[in-house]
Amino acid sequence: MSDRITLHIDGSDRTVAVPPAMTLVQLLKREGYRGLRQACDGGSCGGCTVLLDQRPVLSCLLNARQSVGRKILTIEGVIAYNDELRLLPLCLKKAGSAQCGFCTCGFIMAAAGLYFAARDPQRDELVTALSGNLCRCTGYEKIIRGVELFFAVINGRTDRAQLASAHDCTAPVGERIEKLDGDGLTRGEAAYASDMVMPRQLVMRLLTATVAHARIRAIDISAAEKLPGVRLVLTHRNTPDTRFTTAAQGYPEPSPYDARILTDTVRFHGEPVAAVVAEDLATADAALQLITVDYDELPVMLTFADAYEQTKAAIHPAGLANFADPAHNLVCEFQYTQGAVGQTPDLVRVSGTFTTSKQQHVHLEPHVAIAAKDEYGRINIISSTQVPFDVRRIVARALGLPFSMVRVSKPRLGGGFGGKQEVLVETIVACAAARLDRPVKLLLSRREEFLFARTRHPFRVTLELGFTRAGKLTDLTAGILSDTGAYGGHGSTVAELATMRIASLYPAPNVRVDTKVICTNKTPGGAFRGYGEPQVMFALESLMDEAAAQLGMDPAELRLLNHIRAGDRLPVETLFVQPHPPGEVITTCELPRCIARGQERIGWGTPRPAPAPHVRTGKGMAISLQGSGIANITRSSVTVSLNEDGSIQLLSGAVDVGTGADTVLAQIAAQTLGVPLTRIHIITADTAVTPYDSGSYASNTTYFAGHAVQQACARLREQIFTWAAAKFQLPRDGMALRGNMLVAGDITKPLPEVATAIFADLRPVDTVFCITVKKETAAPPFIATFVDVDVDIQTGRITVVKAVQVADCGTIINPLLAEGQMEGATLQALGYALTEEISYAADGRVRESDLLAYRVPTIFEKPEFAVEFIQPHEPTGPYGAKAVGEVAFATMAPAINNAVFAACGVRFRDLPMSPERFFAAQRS
Amino acid sequence: MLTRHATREYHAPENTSALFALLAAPVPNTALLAGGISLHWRGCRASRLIDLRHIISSSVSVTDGTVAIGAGTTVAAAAAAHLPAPLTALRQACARLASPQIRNVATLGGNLISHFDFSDTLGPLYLLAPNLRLITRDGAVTRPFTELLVKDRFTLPANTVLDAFIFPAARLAQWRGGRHHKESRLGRDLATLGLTILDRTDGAFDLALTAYWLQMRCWHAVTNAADLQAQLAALPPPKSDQRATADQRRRLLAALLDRLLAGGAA
Repeated sequence: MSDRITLHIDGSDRTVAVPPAMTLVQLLKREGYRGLRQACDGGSCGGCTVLLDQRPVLSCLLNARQSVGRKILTIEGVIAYNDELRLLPLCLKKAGSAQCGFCTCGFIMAAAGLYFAARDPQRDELVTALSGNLCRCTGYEKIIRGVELFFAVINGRTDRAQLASAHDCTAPVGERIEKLDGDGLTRGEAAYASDMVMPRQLVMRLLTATVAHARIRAIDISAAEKLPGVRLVLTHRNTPDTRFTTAAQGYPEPSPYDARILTDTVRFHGEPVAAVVAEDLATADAALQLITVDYDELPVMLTFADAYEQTKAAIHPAGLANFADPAHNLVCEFQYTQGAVGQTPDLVRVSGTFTTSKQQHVHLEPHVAIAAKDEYGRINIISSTQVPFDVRRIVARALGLPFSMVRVSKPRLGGGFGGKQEVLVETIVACAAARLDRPVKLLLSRREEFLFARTRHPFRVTLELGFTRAGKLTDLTAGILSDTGAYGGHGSTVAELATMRIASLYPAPNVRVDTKVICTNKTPGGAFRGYGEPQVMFALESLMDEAAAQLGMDPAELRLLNHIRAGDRLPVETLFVQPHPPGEVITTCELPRCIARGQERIGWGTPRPAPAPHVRTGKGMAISLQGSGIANITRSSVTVSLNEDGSIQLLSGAVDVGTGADTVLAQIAAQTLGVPLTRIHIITADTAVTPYDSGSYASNTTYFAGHAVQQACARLREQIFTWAAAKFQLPRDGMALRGNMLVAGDITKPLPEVATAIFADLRPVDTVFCITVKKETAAPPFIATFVDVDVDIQTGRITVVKAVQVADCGTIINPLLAEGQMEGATLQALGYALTEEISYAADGRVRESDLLAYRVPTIFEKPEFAVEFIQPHEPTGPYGAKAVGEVAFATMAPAINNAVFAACGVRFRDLPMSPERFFAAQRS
Repeated sequence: MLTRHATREYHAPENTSALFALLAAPVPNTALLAGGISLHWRGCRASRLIDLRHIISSSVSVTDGTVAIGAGTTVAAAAAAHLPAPLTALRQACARLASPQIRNVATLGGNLISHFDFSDTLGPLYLLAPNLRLITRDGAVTRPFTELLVKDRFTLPANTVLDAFIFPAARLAQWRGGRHHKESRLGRDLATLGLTILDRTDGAFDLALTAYWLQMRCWHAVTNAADLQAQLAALPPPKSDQRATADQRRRLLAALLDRLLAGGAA
């Protein structure tokens, strides 16, 4: 029963009806207050922070009635509070604090609390004040800088004029320009799918398996169906039996078709077995309790030995999935060889077996989708996805619909990192919406994210390197076992990329890599920043250090002697085709300068004094390369059009996952056309509106979509010039667009007037250009990473004091955003190296299913960052650009491992490098 | 997100009469709210919530050396309060509890009132052993903290509400200071643990050790640190299905204790 209570919100009294169970965040969201996010199941993320009597609190932990008689301040109140506090969102925008923006308002509210508590806080006060909030994108550095900028401005140390927008810039490539959507993100105006409520919307909840491997003998939904308010209960019995893959990838689709909407065989703990659609969450949850499932349990296989070497059972029996050897749970295997390993005498050999952990993306916005039929009978899906066109394809296949009957769009995304390259929730909400003629929404809880969203694939890498006495790498022999979990998904392509990368960084005449992908009863693996590279680089770059020690060389010197160079050819393009086609020729590689600069920034060779007797300090390094999309696979189309007022409309199927891709594409458009950035209007990723794009993954957007933008805008510019030269009798040579003017010699004409005249022309002058880009290259960016660590030899705690990332990513289109990508990847990789791991009990149950047990880095774990770019002009990229998004990830774990060895002589072979493993390694 | 729709009633009684009238009408699965964090831990399953904010004290006072801290005092307020030196460890524990947002809502008495008896503040409270001012139907009564401990678990008598912690001047006089160290986010299974040391005026010290795998252990009037280390080494091995070994935990404890005894933050 709801009572009416009066709350004082943002300076006004509001009387509202509140049921007894309603939390403050639920109330505020219901009443339309924006900027409140829930990224956890309560108390862990800080996304729902509001001020209560000027102190920050978590509105998810408070009953709404607990705030009666107290002053509530939300982000709207911050903006309206006074002339000082309203600068806070602006400062965070200016500092590049918002990437996906899902957490940003929570940080702003925490900072607002600090504003009321301290006029001019010290940095440690500031960090502590922000420590209750999680961010997965930024690495926290730019958030801290945004808040510092705010206090600098209000205390008169920085001029307010510095907060002015740079969006009127007409040559924006290379400029530190804040995100075009920065205001929306920092003022809570951005719309995420998780916030959306459609008229007549129903909600879906999922019943997840309590066992890890079982056939469903019986499932009784009769009681749930009878519960008032329940509209539909779905199981494997009443959903299509079509097999498909949930792994979203380009054409040709490489993944096994091993999934269906709801399963009749549970293959991992937490796998959904039924779905309830109801009028409200309470009813849906109550209905879930009424469903009974009778399981016929099967052997649980969690290790390579159980699943493959001494197989206990086939997880996907023959005929159900196109695995290489379903009887032994072998999804695929491949081999890459060149030369003949083991034939060269007198080599200095180093070897080891390395294991890596199962990392979860923890994008702060969970997976969410809303599906509804429109007046044409089409299924419209709004999803937090990186791959709208792949969602369309997979949903159409799962439901047996033509592509034209499925439309997919995405609002702002609350992070992705590859996790939303998986079609996890869209098929089932589409299935329900198709039957009910009402919108259906499914938003996963954080626990559900841990139970069945995808993870990084754990690898076991056995590696041997053979060097001449002079340090030249001659032999590389690797055995890679990848655990793809219960479904094939991205398993084969992740392993393929890992195989290619381990053979690429140091070209050796003799190489042999044997790779197998094994299915187990664990949460499925998926796409994740780095896509197989972090696993193999942990092995390769750790072993390179061991080799340097054996050879008596400096680790940097050994790498400089062996790394791939401009003019070298990548060994292979794909392993799925026989014979393997050769890879692309590297056109730019500035690794030597990256290494040299990194050595300077870290103080290589200069020991840092230990801060305490029980602490040892050490420095380590690693290098790596990534891709800029996928050669011959990534496909990006862009449509650019001139509006009648001279503004430019840019349609792209690419998705801004939070990286700032929309801003970067607009910068390229503005630079090419010579118009102010403010005149570019970008619309992205709606399968019914924008042209096809493979989706945002593999760090492809700038290199591919950016190139399409550049080419399309060049065509439009030429069209304007040609038309204007003829119409106004102007000299064509030297014609240019500057600012908002057409310039030809001494004559200038406002672009809006020119545009209007074009539309008034009696002839049909084409003002719309669509360009598709697909390339034979995906120019690799390169990186040298250096870290400086403290190792507490008594507690096993490893603290990364400083992380230096010097990268060759070609021309940097937007240094502010590029730095943010590097810092964010660095901290996410630090978590992978030190703390993050999903583990399983013997019966296959997931042990870490919340943000208390699964430890992502907080602001306290953030090291000092030093990010620098060496910028060669990459001829195959737009304005010389290569990719930025992933390259900073793979090197962190081996660099930390090497630094720990330098500090105290302990080497890790397993991730994460936990204190428990430190003690074990110390003893051994 | 986690949905909480079990609650059918919410009450915030204005006075003790109203409170005890509510408690006299037994409703299964009733939860008392003293702050709000317990809403997450317990309230999501409670069918009736009784908010004590109008009932219990939330002030801090020092009178003739005796300190009274209301059970409804937020952890943030306790951390910022000017308190005598023996209560330094309690202040430090408050300052490091959870996150700023939680410290602004969680109360010193909240966990005890909610019977969720694991918190950073419990170590210092166990050692300081304050008197507890309880609200009963017949008025306020004071009971020693230790009386309410049953096998290291804190249990309030039925139909009583914790109102305040009273630290008598005479008791506080036995310590000259103290410190608290919290080790968190250290590996997956080693963490989290808390160590509290109170330095006695006679040169000995009291130690409270909290860790989820061994709950709470206290040692009083320790004069020989080596003996204590031996006792720590003899602690029962942890439960199974944990990655850290008993030996690793003992080594960690020994190291942290050494550092804390040396006088600084561990």
